[in-house]
Amino acid sequence: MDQSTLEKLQPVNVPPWDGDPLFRVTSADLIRSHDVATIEARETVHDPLGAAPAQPFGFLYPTWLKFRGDLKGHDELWLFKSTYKVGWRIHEIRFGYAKVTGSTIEWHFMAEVIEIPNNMEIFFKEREKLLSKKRNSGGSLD
Amino acid sequence: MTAQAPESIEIDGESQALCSEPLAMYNALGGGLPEFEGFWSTAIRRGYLGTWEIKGDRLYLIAIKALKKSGRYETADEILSGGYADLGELFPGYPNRVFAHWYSGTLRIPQGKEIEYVHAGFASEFERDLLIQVEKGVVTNTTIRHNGEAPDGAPDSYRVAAWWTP
Repeated sequence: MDQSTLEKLQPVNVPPWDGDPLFRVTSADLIRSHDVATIEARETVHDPLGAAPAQPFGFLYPTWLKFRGDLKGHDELWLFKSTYKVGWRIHEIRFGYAKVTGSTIEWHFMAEVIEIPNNMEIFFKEREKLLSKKRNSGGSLD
Repeated sequence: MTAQAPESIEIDGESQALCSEPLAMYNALGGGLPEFEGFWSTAIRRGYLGTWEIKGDRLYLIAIKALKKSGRYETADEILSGGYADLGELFPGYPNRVFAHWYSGTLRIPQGKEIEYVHAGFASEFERDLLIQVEKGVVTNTTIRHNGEAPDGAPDSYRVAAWWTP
């Protein structure tokens, strides 16, 4: 897929099963395409205590199978990375694989959600505000 | 606002309060856990209490106390009639230990004495916070944040006012 086609891709993202209906993968989030075999090899979970299925995406393998089962011959799978705002101030980085069909990004499998590293600092600042509010109001947070 | 009961985590054989919810990310990724009963206590809105362990630099879920939804809320008996879910039911084939490979984030473990109780979320402040960074279930970094000194006679364990478990 050339760059101009990539930039014109339109997100459709109609969830075929339960998912976050507000989250959209856009063409700017796409990193590179991979075939299923490559994805499954790199995403297989290994645990020395055998506490997870040694399968692609471990316990999430059934969800992956469902996603994979919807693929048609002409579909492409693209690794994506997207920054997403959740709630008031929390941001996440979301990684996964998007299904690209012709000129549309149809849906995605989300493989990893990473809280942006400074989220914990945001928490501490918010807590400081709560503590100030509590002290100024004589102990009530209502 | 109500303070929330923490998860618990075992590190080097010692059980501590964990003010993070690694299981929430599992469902966000399509893990498909059932909806739990959030009405058994306002202090357990998430509907479960998980026990975690750091073993060999990895994060594991080793137990869970979760009330299944009964759909009936008139009496305590009705709420409880859904029964409890155990680890093996939620993760078939893994009744004793589940590797949390889906989790990336920072675990916060309050330590020392309580500086100030806050009746909201996990906001109570303790003398220290042990912060454990985790990537795909594997510990990558550990730091300690010092928050100050607790007053004399302060509680030395995590507490949540006015909560009950059936």
